[in-house]
Amino acid sequence: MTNPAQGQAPNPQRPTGSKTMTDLLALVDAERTLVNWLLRQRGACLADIVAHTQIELAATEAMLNDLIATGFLVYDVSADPAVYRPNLVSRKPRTVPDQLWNAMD
Amino acid sequence: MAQVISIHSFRGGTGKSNLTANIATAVASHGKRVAIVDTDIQSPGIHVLFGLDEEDFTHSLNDYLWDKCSAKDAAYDVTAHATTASGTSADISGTVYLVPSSLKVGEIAKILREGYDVGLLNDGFHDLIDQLNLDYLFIDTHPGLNEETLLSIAISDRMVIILRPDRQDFLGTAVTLEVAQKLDVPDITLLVNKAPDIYPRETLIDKVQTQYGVPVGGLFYENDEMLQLASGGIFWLHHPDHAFSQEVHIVARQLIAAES
Ligand SMILES: Nc1ncnc2c1ncn2[C@@H]1O[C@H](COP(=O)(O)OP(=O)(O)OP(=O)(O)O)[C@@H](O)[C@H]1O
Ligand SMILES: [Mg+2]
Repeated sequence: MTNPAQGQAPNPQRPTGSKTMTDLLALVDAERTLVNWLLRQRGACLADIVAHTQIELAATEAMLNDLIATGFLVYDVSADPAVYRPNLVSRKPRTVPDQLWNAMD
Repeated sequence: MAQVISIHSFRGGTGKSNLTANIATAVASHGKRVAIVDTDIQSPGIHVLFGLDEEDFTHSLNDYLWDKCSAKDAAYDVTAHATTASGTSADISGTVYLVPSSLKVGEIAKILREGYDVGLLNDGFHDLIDQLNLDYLFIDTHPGLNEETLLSIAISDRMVIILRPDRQDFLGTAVTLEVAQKLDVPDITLLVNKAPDIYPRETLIDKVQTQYGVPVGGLFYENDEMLQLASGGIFWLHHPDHAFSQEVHIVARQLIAAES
């Protein structure tokens, strides 16, 4: 039997929209400032983001991709041009029971 | 551009709902179009100041967050409910809308348990601004720092923090200010409420401003008339000549001046 305490493999299927405002506070300055700004704008396209951050394109894109990977942003291609939008919820989905079940497998 | 103003305090009972209703109505008396959103989902209450109860609303903020209605459907024109001491409607030249939060136990529990999409709340604020053609959107909040208050801080143009001259409030306000700075709030105003009348005005204002390095927009003394009114109305309409009411108007004029 596996000890649940050792079953700490991160859930690869982490649902999007699982980040909260509290998580936002924990981001490093540059990322937090960018997400704050996107929250106020309610999303922005890459050109506008680059114009705002004044950081070079490649670095900005890398930061945006990181924020998508960690679930803070989504890339909405239904808009033209496509926009980066904050993807925050007020409560975390309860993933603990799932993790426990996985650990018991 | 409409201004989004959120009203906070770290601890409960500082006077957020009363000051929000009073200041918002005072701003509307200058011909402005304002809305108040009750984001205190856990313990809603600001509708009481307009003499309204549950039966007066078909929709609430909760319905909007569950996609059961548009944000505008949950906004009620309460201008005529701002009454004077004689019970007649005050002649407010602007308009006051209120978006109440549900008072149904099941609905409160559901939203606290399941949460909601933060983007939807943010979109709702902007829908209200656009569709009701607002000049100001006031957000009344639950005390302390929780997900709802963090969002309202993050998207506001101005944050008003209310504190009492009390050591616990002083500590909590420092925490709230730190969070506001992390969320890049452009303007912050402190309001001191429930000051005991033993404190001279200038001394207290000076002390608070020095402590936080943030301007004090108003100082309100604890008073019996307010206690007697017991949230049964908009104070300045009931006691137009009271020092508290004059201070409400000073704050309202500051908000209007800051925008123009
Ligand atoms: N300056 C004042 N003098 C006397 N009583 C006051 C004063 N300001 C507010 N009160 C009273 O304090 C009580 C709490 O006020 P209010 O409900 O506005 O606070 P709140 O911060 O919104 O509370 P909560 O944190 O529960 O939402 C009310 O009974 C109100 O009448
Ligand atoms: Mg309140």
